[in-house]
Amino acid sequence: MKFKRHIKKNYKHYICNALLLAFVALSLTVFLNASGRILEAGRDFGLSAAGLHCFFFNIDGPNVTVNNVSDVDLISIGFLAENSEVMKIRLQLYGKMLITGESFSVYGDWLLSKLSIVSYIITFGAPVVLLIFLLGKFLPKKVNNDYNKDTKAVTALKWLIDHSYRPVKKWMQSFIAFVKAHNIYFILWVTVWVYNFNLITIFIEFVAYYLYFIYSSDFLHIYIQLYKLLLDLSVPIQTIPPLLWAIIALVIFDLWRKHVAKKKCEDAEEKDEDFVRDMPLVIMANGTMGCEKTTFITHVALTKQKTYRDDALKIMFETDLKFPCFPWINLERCLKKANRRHITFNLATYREFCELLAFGYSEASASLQRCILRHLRRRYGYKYDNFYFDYDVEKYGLYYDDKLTQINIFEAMKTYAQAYYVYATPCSLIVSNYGIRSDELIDDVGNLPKRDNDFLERDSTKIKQQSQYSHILDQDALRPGKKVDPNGIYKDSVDIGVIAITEIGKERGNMVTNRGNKTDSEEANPSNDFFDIDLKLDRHRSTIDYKPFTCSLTDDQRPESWGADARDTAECFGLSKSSGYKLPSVLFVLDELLFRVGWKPFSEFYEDDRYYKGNNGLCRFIVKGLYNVIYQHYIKLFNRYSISKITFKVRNGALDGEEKKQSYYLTKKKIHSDRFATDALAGYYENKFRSSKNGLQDIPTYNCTRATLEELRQQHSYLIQKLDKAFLNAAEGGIEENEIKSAEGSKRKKG
Amino acid sequence: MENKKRITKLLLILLVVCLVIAVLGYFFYTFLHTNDRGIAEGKFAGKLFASEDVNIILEFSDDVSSAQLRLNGATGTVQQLNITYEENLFTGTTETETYYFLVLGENSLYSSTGNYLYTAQYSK
Repeated sequence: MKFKRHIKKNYKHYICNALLLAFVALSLTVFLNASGRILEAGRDFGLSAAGLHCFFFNIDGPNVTVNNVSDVDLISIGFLAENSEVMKIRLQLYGKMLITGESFSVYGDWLLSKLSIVSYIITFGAPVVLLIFLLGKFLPKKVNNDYNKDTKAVTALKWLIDHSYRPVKKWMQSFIAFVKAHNIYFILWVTVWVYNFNLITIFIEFVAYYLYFIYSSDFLHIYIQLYKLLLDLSVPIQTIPPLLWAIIALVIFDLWRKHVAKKKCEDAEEKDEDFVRDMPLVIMANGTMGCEKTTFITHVALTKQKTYRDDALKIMFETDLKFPCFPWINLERCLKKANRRHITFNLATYREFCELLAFGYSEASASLQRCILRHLRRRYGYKYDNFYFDYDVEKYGLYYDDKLTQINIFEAMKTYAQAYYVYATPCSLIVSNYGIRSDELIDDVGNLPKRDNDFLERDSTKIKQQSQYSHILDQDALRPGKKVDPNGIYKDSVDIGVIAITEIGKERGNMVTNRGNKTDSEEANPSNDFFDIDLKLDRHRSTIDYKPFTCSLTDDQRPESWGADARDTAECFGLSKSSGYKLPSVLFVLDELLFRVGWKPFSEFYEDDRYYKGNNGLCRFIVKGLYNVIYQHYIKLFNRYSISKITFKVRNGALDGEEKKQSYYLTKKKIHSDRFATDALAGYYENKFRSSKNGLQDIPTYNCTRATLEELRQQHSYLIQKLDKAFLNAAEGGIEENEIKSAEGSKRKKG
Repeated sequence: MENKKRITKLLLILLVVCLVIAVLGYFFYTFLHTNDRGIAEGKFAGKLFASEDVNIILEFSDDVSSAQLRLNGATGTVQQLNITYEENLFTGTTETETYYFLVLGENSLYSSTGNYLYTAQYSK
């Protein structure tokens, strides 16, 4: 009993050890030559190393053996001849044979013989598919209402899957998890197979030739090294069965194409980064509803955020290089501490700290200096006895001259501190009037934090843990004049950041819509809040080392919806054409083809089947299961690697001058990974419709195509009201007139 | 309609990809089977001894204008053939040297030593 329990608990260890023993047994039988090759490689390495040693000391060296072909009996796979001369002849022959009818016919025969397998599959499969199609099409369909009941066939199939595929899959998953947890087994297996397949030999031979090459510069024997490499590789090439090779080739192809697709996404991102760097500080995206205006500004906001972080880091490094011996890490730690205590929280407070240091340094009075140091210690946690973080001023100097201007260490510290704030602040840099999710990862081991801004590599299952949401835009922060809430606590909080405002025209209005607003009004309105002035002075509040770290991204249907004074500062991007999201076609052609070709027959079948049957039949179970595999596979690829190119016309804010065409790339993984809600203002509608007593199905319908007057009046339409006034009132008036006339007529008669 | 257009485009792409693979496959296949086919079919302008190991004895005449060749069982390796002079042209002694050569016709032989190619007649 105890033994059984022991086995049950540890049987995976036994399996792993058994596999290891089996691999070692193969090494001692099938791959016995590997040991001979390793010995030879060791000899080659030793003699090459000895040769190099003798070369350095100018003494006669031994005869190196790295250029000798192996004596171990390995089977050449025929790619290369043993001697370059023979190879030369062979290549000549190849050149002669390449364009001959005979070669074409031989290759054609071979190709047809291989394709015959496909033809077997087609000739066998086509009638089966046709039969299934005809049966499905013409057999009378029985209606049933056995809701969600499995047929006997489905029950049997599910039982079979539950007792074969699922346990095997579950066990394999648990075994893989076990091997991952005990990775020593995996390391040992890999080591044995690396040995069996001569990969260790190849590495040693490479080093041996490298050592030999250092002192011989022998290019002539590179061919023989290639030949030896192929000879060593002939072991795995000939040992691994073709089916396994096919699987390995497929896996490699899949990895390669995903790598290429990711590279394309990264290239698109790089182009976008160039685009946003050249962009003015204010832009306005225009276009009809659904043309992806908000998607565009959100994507730009995320890209801009990344460029700000990168630019800030660049400023830090450039400043560092100006004073390479300054202990910047001490400054960073002090800033980090002050930030944690909320003493420094915007550019001005960072500047204040550095200016205090400069002031302390410039102060002549020692007692006042001590006083300042005490203040720095209490307020900022500053722990040095001088004002420059223990920097050796005597040795390294206080000034730096870049031939444009001379700056001192305190000015450099100020620039560095501000850039550090932009780079290291853990929250999002986006401030918006709708929610934007970003997932910048920050890795901090106590030194300079490292940022990971690669949105394309995010794991969608970890969205919650990795998300930072954009800050709520208190628009009073952008109003230097009258404010909606003069006592608001965030009214002075926005100095840097990417400001994204959707529907700006509806927010700010234009000259026509703001006609009623008075500048001397008590309440804030677009005419007296000076928002436009603040927009024009954007860079004055956010410049670090001559670079502004703020921008405003806006959108609305028409550029004219926004007042001309503010719009003049912007560039207007008229979005018109989008290529739609596409995968790189050549790489994923089969996946997409299967998905697209399969969709119509699947949906037709499924719709029909759902109509007639309430239960779960075998046919539905199989068809749905198979197409679901194709669908899931394709959709995941599509979401991960597809790119859309949008083209737009750029005009200046005054809407005159030349239009220029530009394009921008949207990567689906970046922008549609729950980045923003296209129905950002849905909250208002939610309340409206929840309190409603009626829905679409309750609204009365017309009785025929020509509406009755009663039906028309239910529209509460201005037009119908006008028509009512024009026709019916006139008609009523007409009756009255008739009555009056008839009355007058009767009076006359009486008279 | 959009789906149909896309499917047609994908099918065209697939066709082009298949064609490219087939053409590349032709180059690779021809390279790999240069030797085999030279021997197996004997119809090409060039033929190369490759698929079997052969020991050849090459007998030169005194004026080196012709030579006799005898295939003598399997000892050499692919394309590297041990050629035994039964009589050295100058010293009259027997020597063994390694040559590489290429058979170009029914009775002609290209032999290569270094960069030099010359022809010799042989008979089996």
